[in-house]
Amino acid sequence: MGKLMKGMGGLCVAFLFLSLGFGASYAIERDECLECHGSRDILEMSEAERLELVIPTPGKKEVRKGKISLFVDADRFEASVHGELECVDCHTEIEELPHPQHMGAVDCGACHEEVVEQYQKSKHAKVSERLCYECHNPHYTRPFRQLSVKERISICLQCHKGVKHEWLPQQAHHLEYLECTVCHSPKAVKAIAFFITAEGPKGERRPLTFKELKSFLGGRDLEAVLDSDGDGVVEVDEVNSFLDLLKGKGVKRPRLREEVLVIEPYHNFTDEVEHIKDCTMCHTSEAPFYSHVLLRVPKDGQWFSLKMDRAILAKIPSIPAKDYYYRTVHGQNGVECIDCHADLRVLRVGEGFQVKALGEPVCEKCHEDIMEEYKNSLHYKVSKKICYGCHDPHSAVPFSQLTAAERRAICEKCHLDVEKAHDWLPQKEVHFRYLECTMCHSPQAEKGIVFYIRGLDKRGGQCLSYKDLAELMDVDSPDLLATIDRNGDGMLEVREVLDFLKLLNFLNEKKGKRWQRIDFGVNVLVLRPSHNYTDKGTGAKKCAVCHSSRAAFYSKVVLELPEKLGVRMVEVDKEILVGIHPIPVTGDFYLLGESRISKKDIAELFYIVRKIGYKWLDIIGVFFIFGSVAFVALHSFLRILTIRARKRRNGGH
Amino acid sequence: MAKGHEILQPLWVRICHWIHGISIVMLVVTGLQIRFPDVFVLFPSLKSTVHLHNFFGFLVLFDFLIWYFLYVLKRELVRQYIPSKKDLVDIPEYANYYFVRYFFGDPHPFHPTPQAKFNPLQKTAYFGIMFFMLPLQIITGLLLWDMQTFRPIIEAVGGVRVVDAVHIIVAYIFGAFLIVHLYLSTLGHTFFAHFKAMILGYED
Repeated sequence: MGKLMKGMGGLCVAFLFLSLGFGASYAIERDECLECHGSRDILEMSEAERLELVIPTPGKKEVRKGKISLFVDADRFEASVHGELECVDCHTEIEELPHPQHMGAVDCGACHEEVVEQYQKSKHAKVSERLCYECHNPHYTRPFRQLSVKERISICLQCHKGVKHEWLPQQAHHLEYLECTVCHSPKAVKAIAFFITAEGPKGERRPLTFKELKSFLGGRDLEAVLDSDGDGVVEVDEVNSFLDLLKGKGVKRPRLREEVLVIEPYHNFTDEVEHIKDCTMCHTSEAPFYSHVLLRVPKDGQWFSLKMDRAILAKIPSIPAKDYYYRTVHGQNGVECIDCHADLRVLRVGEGFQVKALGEPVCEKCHEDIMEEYKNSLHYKVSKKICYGCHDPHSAVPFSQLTAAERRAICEKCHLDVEKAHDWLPQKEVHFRYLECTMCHSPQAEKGIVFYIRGLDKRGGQCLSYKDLAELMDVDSPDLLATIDRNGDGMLEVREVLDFLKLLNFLNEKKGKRWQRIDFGVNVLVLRPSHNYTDKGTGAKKCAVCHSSRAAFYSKVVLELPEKLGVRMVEVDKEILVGIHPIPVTGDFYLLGESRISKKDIAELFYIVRKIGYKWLDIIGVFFIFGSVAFVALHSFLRILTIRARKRRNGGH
Repeated sequence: MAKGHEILQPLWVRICHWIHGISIVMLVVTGLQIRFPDVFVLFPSLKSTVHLHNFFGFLVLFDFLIWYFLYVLKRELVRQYIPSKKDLVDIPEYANYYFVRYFFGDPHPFHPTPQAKFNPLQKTAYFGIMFFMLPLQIITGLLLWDMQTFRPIIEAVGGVRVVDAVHIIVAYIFGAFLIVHLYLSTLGHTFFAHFKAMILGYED
């Protein structure tokens, strides 16, 4: 210690001498400051020893320094955002060395005028009286955009230790993935930022490091590889080819992950913002962070942002949005966020499904029957999937409103090679186009034939919405059922349905023919699903389960009527399917085996024969007359055709 | 009646034929109006149509009786009209002629003589018409003409509906027969040969 003191003393004497020699106006360089502050020795000196090195300022109060140390790590300082500044650029009171013992606070506002102004107006400043460098260490602070979420959070955590946010649903998830200011700085500019991840050895997802990325690129510049067309924006295709490249280099399941980040902080922090505890600051389709979409890539231990094509947003599961949520089946039924998310603790990530879901499913709270059925199914026993492994509870639209393709997409999240597995199936494309998986693989589900009102134009057919029909009928809110079901028996007879179609076509004609024709589209659908799926059910590979006039779905023939909210199913007379109608209703819908005659049909035929009774006389009579006329016509025709041949043969007869 | 021509159809046959023919046409026409009074309005009122129908009905009845008794008297009825076993066996051959061989210009396999005027096909058809259909039509017609008088008979056969049904079905058969009959008449060695025979009595 004595030796050290001797050395330091020598240095300071030398400084004193130099400063006296060159006068007061000489600019002090960083190295000079670092003579003392660049060595950890300064921390080990006693206060008295340090006092010997400065000009005492008795009576002057020391300003708070927070956690700023007298020691400044020269290398870290140089790497910091202030690295190019001289010490005296900030420590302006120092005009000569040795400097005064106590000096006033550094005025960050000299450069960061706007930030200081924001901050001074903030509650944070008023309550805590904190100064800039009590949160940010100016000697080491890096450009904000290069900070990881953890580093950003750690700034607040210096004081706000043990923040719990007990009220917050999905607490651990929010606190792990979001920086504090996403919520507590409402005016900060936020972005949705993607980063490149790979699957770790334990199946966990981790960001790829700069070193790793560099090793895959073989010396090429990461930015140039990502933005291969050099237009300054990373498009979806570019991302895909980059991920393919990583895959080709043996990276295990490379994927993008997203996080919400502040890209321009705003120093008016608060815990009383309008939206706080309302969730809708973020959980809305209009959330501010959707306006900036970035791809963050690491470089030399720092993060850089590239602009990204907004189209990528369509490729990720949307962040649950409250406004959209109210249009979903859960929202419409009055289920609030907290009903499902209140008592959840364990965080789990569904396989292939990026909504971060929780351990024990709360779906059971409402969907007890389904859960009971599902837990006994082969699907659960084999896959161990729970509800949200397949269904996204935040975007679930009522089952009845899903198209066959949307329903199939639920299964195809995991069953990727279904098409190949169905090579045995005759007319595979037709089956795949029109049927959902559960038509065959859920033998216990209730199936039916569903008609919908369809407008045909050059692009094909589309289901007419309530709005379309209201416009067509020139009524604000038409009661469609009352319009069709004129006898009010709750069942749509063929005549009623045909009259309604005629009416629609007439109105369509009158209103400038927006559609070429209006008719009925038809689907064979599962009406009430059964969650007991199987590949060995009674349905598998037995065509006659559907291709028979006895198929289960013929027992339920309904018309889907759009309503202001949702749809309504009304039973339709089955006759509409096989009947031959004056205007085409179901011309392009036919199931092989459907119109095969059955015993019942023969009985019905006899009923009609008896019903017509003596009127058959005229039918038979007309048949006789037409028969004789047909004979005469055919004979005459052949007679005329053979006149020449006959004449030749009979020598001119 | 020119010499050298073999008379196939004696005058009385021709007179009976044309009275019958005209009556049948009239019966068909009036019958149509009676059956579909709202569709085929050919005569001013349904009442007059019914009277006309009755009139031609009786005309056919008397014509048929005269024709029948004259044939019986001349002892030709069985020979000319009742198909023999051989006739029945030959039917396919004649059917083949009319449907196939005719178009190749083959000569007609049958040559009518006053002793055998009809080929087996004709014979069978006329037999059915004159001995079953026409009597059936006349009887059902009579029953419907005066239902009050014939009520016991009508009730015995199953009611007026049944009688009417038989009358109508046979009427349609007559209609169909008329069309085919007229057409086949043109299949003589010239287009009008058979017509001529039925007017003049002989063919060229």
